[in-house]
Amino acid sequence: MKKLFTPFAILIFLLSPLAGQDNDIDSLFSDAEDVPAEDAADVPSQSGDIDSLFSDGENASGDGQANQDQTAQNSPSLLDSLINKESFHFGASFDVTVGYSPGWEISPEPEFSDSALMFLSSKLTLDATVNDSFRFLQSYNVAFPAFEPKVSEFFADFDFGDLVYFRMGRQNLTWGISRYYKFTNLHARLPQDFGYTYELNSTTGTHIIDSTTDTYSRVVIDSADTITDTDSYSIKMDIPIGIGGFQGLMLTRNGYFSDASTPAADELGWGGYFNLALPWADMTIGGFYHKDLNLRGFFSAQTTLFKRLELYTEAVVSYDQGMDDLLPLIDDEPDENDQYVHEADPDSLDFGANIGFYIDFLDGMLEFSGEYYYNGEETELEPLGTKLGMSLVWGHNLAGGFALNLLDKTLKIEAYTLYNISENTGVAAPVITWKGFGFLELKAGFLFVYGSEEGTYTRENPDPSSLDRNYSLVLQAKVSGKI
Amino acid sequence: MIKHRFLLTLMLIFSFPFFLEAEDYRAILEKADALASYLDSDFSAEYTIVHEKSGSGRETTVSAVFRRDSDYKYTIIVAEPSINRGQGYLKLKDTLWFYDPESRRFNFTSSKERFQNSNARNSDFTRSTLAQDYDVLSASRTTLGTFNCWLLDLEANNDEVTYPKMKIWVSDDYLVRKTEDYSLSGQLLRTTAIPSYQVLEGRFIPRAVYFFEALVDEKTVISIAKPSFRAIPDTVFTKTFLEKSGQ
Repeated sequence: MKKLFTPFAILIFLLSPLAGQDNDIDSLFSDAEDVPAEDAADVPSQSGDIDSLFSDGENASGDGQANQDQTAQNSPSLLDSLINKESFHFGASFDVTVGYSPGWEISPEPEFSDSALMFLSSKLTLDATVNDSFRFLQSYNVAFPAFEPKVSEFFADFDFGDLVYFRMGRQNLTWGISRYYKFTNLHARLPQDFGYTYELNSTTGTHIIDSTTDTYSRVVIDSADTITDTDSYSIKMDIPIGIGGFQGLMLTRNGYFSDASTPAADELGWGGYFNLALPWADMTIGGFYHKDLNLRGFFSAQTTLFKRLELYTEAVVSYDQGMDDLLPLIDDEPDENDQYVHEADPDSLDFGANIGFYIDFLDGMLEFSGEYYYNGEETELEPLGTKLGMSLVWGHNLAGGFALNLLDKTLKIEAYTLYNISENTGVAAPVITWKGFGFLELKAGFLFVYGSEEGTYTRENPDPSSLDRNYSLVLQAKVSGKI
Repeated sequence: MIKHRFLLTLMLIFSFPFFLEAEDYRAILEKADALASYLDSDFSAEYTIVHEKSGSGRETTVSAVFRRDSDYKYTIIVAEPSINRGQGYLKLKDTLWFYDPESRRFNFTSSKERFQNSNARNSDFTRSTLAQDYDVLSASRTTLGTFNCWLLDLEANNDEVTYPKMKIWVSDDYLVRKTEDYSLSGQLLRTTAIPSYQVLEGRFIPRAVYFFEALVDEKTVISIAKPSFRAIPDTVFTKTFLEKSGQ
């Protein structure tokens, strides 16, 4: 099925311009574009001249009362013309990145390199509205040097009378609030067999993890067996209630199922949440189940104080339904593979929670954010989309960052750090970005880990060599465009 | 005798503002609020926002705006430019949710922020609550081009508003024609002008709103087209709608 999709997608893109002449939704706004152009030309160049706007109204009657009135007609429904009209829209974007990175290369995959960077990526999107209840979207990337088309999104939307909305296919889903530790993005958690496993430090053969006297070591699975393509497929159902509502989710991903065309029922994950959106707070409670994962529930809440300070908190409860959780012995020395030895976790319930803030000043010129996160979970700590590709670390964590936006936000100086108190290990990244010349973006960043050499961030830094270099300098120029 | 009557008349004319009490000035604000708010029906229109900044050229944003003033709600969907297409704003009272179709995430944010980096604030798109949020410090009669206006000096009576001090020109038909927005220290921050209105079903809608930043060389024009007072479905004011309308 996957093989059939690529030629189908290419065929759609080749044929669609023939029909696109009359259906581009952008044409809905073509009339309006003339208005601001005229108005803008009439705008006084300085605010001191603004009173001249009132001097020559179109219907000036001399009494100063009637020159404002022009009768308008009730327009056709904007809703129909914006949302429900049969139409389709094409989008395209292109990125070219060149540079030099002696150190970690964060994109596209975290690794260490000392070579020049060269990365090209193109994305095409077709967004088609068939009628007011049915729409589909497909987009795919082609990137250098592989040049293999990758479907980034491919889904259909349909609804039943504005009561229930469905989206099914490959889609980007994000649960949770945190800017740093995405531990409540439950469906993005991966079971241990996605890249690594734990081996018993004994030769007793088949073993059930039920004894606290046995120890285990973390072992990376051979690359041939590692699942790198973790794309997910899901059906999402939304029922609006108030401003928020209920979301139900059925999700599976590569690596869960053996036969891509017919995943079995027990290879699907199930979950959902209820979002209560109030004027003073936004609260969500939900959970996710998959047989290969711990059963997890989460809660999140956020509010804005003084119209400026955004506060949030999240919590997760994890139940070890397979009784196979392992606990890292961080008080002991790491083993010969530079990994902590593990033993069985006697607790079937684990808990994690955070509290964080974001605040900006001077119209966003200066931004600050910070978070405290307690992670009581020991397993499945490498969710997709974590900051800097780093896994969640057991224990007490702190994160923070700031950004200074200068020169009309074309120059951005930012820095952020993740630090685990329990292991005295951290990672930080000061970055300068300049976007002052059209589509060109220049970026310089210095990424490094600090703290204990036995800490997780040092042990798991992306340098695969024995040198274990704990820094990375990234200098890159990126040209990008989007239509 | 005639001379005395003439002088008396002149005194009455020039002392006219002093006959009005603070409550009367508040009544002017209430009438201005009533004309700028649509409490008995929904409102939708297409807003074209042209933002010009010295050295940065001109940026145009086209958005669909859906208002339900009676519930302090609005929804805005960005249609242009293409790089921001599908971004959405949902406001309920003082709380704003922003939907980014790139990340498929909602941000829970303040309505004080600028709209799409223009000189318009997110709070500029909702119902007017001048009489509720401000006290009138002083008032005088003045002319603004062809308009005879009340010029009112306002000071915020709470810290929830975007600007702590304002000067506002209200023409004799109780339409807001111009405002000057000040910081707490009295620094002029922004000037807004609404030279003309369009009338639909007996209600007034600005044809264009002009914003001038005082501290930097920036200006923004919002043109309002395709106005409608037809009822809007409840689902438009939901996060699900933003997600559906986004890419």
